[in-house]
Amino acid sequence: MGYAIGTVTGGLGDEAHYKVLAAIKTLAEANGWTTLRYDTSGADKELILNSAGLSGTEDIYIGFKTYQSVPSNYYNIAVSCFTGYIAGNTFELQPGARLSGTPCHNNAVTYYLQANAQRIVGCFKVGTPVYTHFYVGKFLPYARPGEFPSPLISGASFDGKEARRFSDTNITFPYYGYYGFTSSSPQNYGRCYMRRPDGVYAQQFHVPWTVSSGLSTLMRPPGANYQLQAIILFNYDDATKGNVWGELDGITHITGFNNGTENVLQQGGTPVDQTGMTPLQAVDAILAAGGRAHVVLQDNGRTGFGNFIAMEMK
Amino acid sequence: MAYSTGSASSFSDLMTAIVNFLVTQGYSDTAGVAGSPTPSASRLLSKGDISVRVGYDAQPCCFLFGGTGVSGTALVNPSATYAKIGSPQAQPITFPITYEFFYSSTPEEFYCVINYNGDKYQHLHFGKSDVPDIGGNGLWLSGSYSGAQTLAGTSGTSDQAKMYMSASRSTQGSGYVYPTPYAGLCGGYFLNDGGWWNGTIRCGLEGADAWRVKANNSAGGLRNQFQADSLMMALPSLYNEAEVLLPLQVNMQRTDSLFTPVAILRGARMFRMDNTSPGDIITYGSDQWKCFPLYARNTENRNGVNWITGAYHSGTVGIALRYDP
Repeated sequence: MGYAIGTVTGGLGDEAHYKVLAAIKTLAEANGWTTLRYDTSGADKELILNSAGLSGTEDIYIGFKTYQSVPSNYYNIAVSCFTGYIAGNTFELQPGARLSGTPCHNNAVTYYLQANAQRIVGCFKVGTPVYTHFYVGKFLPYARPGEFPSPLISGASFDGKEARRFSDTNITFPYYGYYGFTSSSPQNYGRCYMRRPDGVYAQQFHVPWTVSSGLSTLMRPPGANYQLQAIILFNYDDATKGNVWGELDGITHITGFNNGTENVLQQGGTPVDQTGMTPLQAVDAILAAGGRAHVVLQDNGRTGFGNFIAMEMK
Repeated sequence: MAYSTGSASSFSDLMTAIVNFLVTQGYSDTAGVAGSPTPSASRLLSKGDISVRVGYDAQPCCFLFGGTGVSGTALVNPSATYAKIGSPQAQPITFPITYEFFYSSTPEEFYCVINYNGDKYQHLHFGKSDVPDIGGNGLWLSGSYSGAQTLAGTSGTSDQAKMYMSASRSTQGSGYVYPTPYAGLCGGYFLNDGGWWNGTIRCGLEGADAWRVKANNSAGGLRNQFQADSLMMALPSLYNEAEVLLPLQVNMQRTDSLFTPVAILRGARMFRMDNTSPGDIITYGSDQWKCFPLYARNTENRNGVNWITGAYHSGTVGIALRYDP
């Protein structure tokens, strides 16, 4: 089982975001990842993972590191991709590191996690509440084997370990892409760093958010059947062309029209009556009924039509 | 999936080939009313709840209407808008032509591509949308020319053998490339922008079942491929020259100014054929896709040529059809 939905609570010295880190470790190890480092000795606890990917022939490195400040009242988790692992190096100095920070919480966190052997995605419901997100690991490149070395994403809300907290109203999830959330200026708040073939991490445009008109924000389904749109990363690289890099794995755009966060979308299988079910129960029931289950999750505190993604649980 | 190819010495021949091919795919065939101008003829093909009228006339062209059934020699609820493959007087088609047919029953889709005068291609296609909840029978159709186009223009801005295209992109990531037909070819596949209606779909959503046509900023109107426009301006990818195949999606505007995808053409993709020649087959895993220009391939003017000049080509805008011979 590649998903985990749960709630953890914490207190002084036993903060909730530490327990989230432990939950990520447990889920990862059950889904193809090997723990290279799990250091809980200090306040900043670290987890570094390695996997052979879905093909079994790859060498993927990702990591999670808590960072927090009692005076500033933030308790976050930074995610990072790496291109290797050196046991003697710090988390930040691992080869090819690119950190992105995800707001989390010390008291209570409801987490939605999904892991496969090439990437881990997650969403934390914290505070008022808001929903913070991360995507770390491989995306699905539009490339033949060997053409795209290390197609990795380090995606969250902050540029590295920024000293900001979940209540910062400017933060966004990583899925809008560069220029995605506001059409008039670059995306400075959500961070989705993609590692290009030349080894440089950079934010990219994302379809359907970065388009000339409004399928991202103005979409509604024909009825009760919602239509998921792939999130495709691209750029314009020279005067005439660019690159269409690939798409995210297991995260899709879904309209917020008549929709709500933590809804569970069923795709195929015997229809499940979700009345009275928690999201976890609904996911379990849909999968047992032979369907595919997608949890609808909003961007932080935003609930506009264009502020939702669907995270497939499988 | 089914595939067929052959040669036709006239549009009458092409109509017969289409009819014979679709009959082998389970369509019933009866005589339809003639078209205009004469000489002309048409056939009515039905399967399940979709019916089409395919025919030829002396314009000359091979045309396609949609309907919800057959009554005598006519369609029930015939589409007001129709599509066609035609011979423009500015550059008449020299017969014989080569045709290729692609068919799938899951969902029901038929694509016809003709090749003539060396490097020229035209397209005619229909299918049944598999998007749930859209109402109507979901029949869609499109083609290289709108039925309303006379094909008689021969010079200047009325040259109907040209394709007039528009392309743009911004540093913010928006962009597009598509035919803006004016007098020329629309291209088919619901690609075009502008007022020429070369595609239609029968669905509900905004009132009773009706034939919806291209119309920006109007409830019930169809929009071009704006969900993937930007990607067409980025391809082929510089880092690996990949021919990424992009889904074709028909979006309808609602009364609340929102958009609903009402059809996804399962057997067709758009792409940039900078590195692909007409007829090439792209293989991705077990899938094969056969590549065609939207009209004619030209790598010097990749985005075609804009109104009012136009050109006898479509740049490197291409169509890939699912190929399973």
